[in-house]
Amino acid sequence: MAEAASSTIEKNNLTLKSSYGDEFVLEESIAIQSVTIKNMVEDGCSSSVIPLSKVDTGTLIKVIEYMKMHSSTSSNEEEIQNFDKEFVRISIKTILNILEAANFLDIRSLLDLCAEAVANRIKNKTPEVVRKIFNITSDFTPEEEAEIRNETPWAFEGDLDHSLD
Amino acid sequence: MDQISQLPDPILQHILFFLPAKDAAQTSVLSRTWLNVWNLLPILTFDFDENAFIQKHLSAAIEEQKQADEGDAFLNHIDSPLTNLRIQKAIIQKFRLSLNFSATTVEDLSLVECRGVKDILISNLPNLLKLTLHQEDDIANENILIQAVNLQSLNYRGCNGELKFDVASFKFMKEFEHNIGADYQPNGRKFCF
Repeated sequence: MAEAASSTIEKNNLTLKSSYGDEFVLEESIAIQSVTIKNMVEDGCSSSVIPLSKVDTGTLIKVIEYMKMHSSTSSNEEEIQNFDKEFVRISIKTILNILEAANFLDIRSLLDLCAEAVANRIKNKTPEVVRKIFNITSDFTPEEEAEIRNETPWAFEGDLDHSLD
Repeated sequence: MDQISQLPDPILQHILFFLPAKDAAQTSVLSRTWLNVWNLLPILTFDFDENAFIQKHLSAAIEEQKQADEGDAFLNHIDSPLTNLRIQKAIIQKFRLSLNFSATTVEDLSLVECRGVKDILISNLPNLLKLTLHQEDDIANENILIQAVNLQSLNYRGCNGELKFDVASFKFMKEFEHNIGADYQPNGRKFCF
């Protein structure tokens, strides 16, 4: 095994490779917040580079930033909360990329954070605005849409935010 | 197809769990993908926080009338989402009821046949005197936390989860009825306030 010849520090490091081929060295104790990576380590597949073919470089950098913060022993709960709050102040496209990566890497807390961030962009918006924000194309005819609205009339009552923010 | 609609259904459902029922239901008209996700949604959360409600609905102008009107406004407001969830035949997995000290009207609370409710959190009900919890389902309540300092009577039947009390809850407790077993409730799930 490669580890046998390595120094103590290297022994505890893993190399994660993005879909673009960029490599990132990360302490194993940090990386195993990802259940997917943890399973690979336990199965003995971690002696070489771990290829993450579904995660692009930009997304991987963000995921590593998150994992580092959340495994840091020097930061308190408040700092982590503030970090999380700032972490999702990014474009919806980036959030969705990280959400997909968190799902693939099986990092539950990051998945929750991103899912909630997406939900917050849906909250209090009309369906029309939600479609614009997420670039969703309706495949309903106006008649079909009216029918669905009639099924849950309570959902479509009251004031809603028409802005895109 | 757009990026979000390509996410697996469980992830889209996961996103809906972070939304109030109204917003979640609205996503059903976005596209067929979202309608499908909404229709597959097995569980919903009932979440009511009176502090948030008051901030949203009570302006300074009606502050003086607050005490008198609040009870009615609260009951109307809380009844609406519950009615909606009943219509939707939703299985409520989490029931969180948080009231502040102005909620003087709530003295008797019954949760009957809470199907599939895994977490029940009832807090800040200072004047709650009587609480009834009946569970008629195979799914165990996993966490029941009750913080009601003046509770006098608890009727607790068939909830086979872990029941936790705020220690102060026992101070005034006069009556405690605890039955494990199933008496069928023909009226379906019912929330009484």
